[in-house]
Amino acid sequence: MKELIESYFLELRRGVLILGVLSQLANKEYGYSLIQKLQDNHFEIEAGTLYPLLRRLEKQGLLESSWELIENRPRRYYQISEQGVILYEQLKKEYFDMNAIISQLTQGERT
Amino acid sequence: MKNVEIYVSEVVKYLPRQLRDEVKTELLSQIMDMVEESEGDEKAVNAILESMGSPKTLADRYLNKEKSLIGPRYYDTYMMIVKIVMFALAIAFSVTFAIKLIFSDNFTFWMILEYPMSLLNAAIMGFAYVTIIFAFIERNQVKTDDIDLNQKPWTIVDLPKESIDSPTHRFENIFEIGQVTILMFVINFQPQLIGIYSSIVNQGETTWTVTPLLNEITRGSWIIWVNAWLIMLLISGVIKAIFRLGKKQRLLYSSLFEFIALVIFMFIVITQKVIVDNVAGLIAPGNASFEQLVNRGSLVLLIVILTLSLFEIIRKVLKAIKLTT
Repeated sequence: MKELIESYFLELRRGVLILGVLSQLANKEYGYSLIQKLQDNHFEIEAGTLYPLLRRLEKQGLLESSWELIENRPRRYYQISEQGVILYEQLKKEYFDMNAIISQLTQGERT
Repeated sequence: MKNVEIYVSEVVKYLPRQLRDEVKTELLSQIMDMVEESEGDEKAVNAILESMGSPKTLADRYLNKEKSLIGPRYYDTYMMIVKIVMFALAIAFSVTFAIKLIFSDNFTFWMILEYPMSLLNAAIMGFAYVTIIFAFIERNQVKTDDIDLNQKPWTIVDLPKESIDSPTHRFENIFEIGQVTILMFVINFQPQLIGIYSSIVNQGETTWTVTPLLNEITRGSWIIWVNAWLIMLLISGVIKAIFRLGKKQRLLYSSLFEFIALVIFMFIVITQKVIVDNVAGLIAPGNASFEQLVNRGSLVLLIVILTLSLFEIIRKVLKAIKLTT
């Protein structure tokens, strides 16, 4: 049962992963700084999930990236693109609409 | 730090060449950022690497690849085609077994034992062929989770001309895949059944003889081409079952495979000796005019098949172009 619950949690989280990531990329961030920023806000994401996701979002034109040399080491920074902002706003609206509906649906259950 | 480098090299090993250098530099930098923030000893480094997952899993994530041979998108169609192929094979086997029993002079126990064994053998082959075709389609499918912000909203124009669940459409698919499977089975397992059946009455007793039409002597060279031709037809049938009617992909892909099948068919006709020499002579020995008629008739039939097939392919391509514009 525990495994089943975990798999449903994972499924639920997967849906909001992009929303969480895009929300923190108004300013440029590199991979690990983004993980920390998300974790500071209690949004857990594994590096093995985030790094490929950043590349994919960049490939889809939702993020912009740039390489910088920090202490003689190249580091890739990511920032939300114009298209990314459009998607982010739409996802956010959809999320809050759904949230309101689910709250309404589950409220009847509580009383 | 050696483990970090090995780990990154292992990850990029599973990636296409053009991605490797970029992912390697980026991943190395990202892991080093994490290492710097940790205590930095070997144990901490290994824990970081373990948290990233196995190199293969991480590489799959870079490729956005789900680990399934046949994914949910094609699973229902795959199961439907497996069932059609199995059903067609069972019919083909039962019919050929019955024919063998009727026309065989010496009926043995081994003949009965041969039936389930050959059926199982053919079922495994049929299953393998269909699975390979679907695995190929699955591997080359356009990723559905790529977000296209410029995608046009659905309008009534996008509505297919006919419902995919239309009984006619379904029957056409079942019939097409079924007949190719049966032909494939007969040519591979019971080629002697394709022949001229004749009966001789001797002292009141009728004995049947079958003169095979397929050339057994040259079989080694033509069997690969005939199977390639049938597989192309099978792929074309599977494509028709996957895509909705009226969709341009359905028209384009199915005509492409039909065209390849036609080219292979013409190649077989021109270069391979699939049919035994002097068919007319086997049907009516010593009748020169009949022989001439058969030879000319075959040529005319071939030209008609070629013209009709080309006409059908061109018609489909034009229709696909019309759907695009």
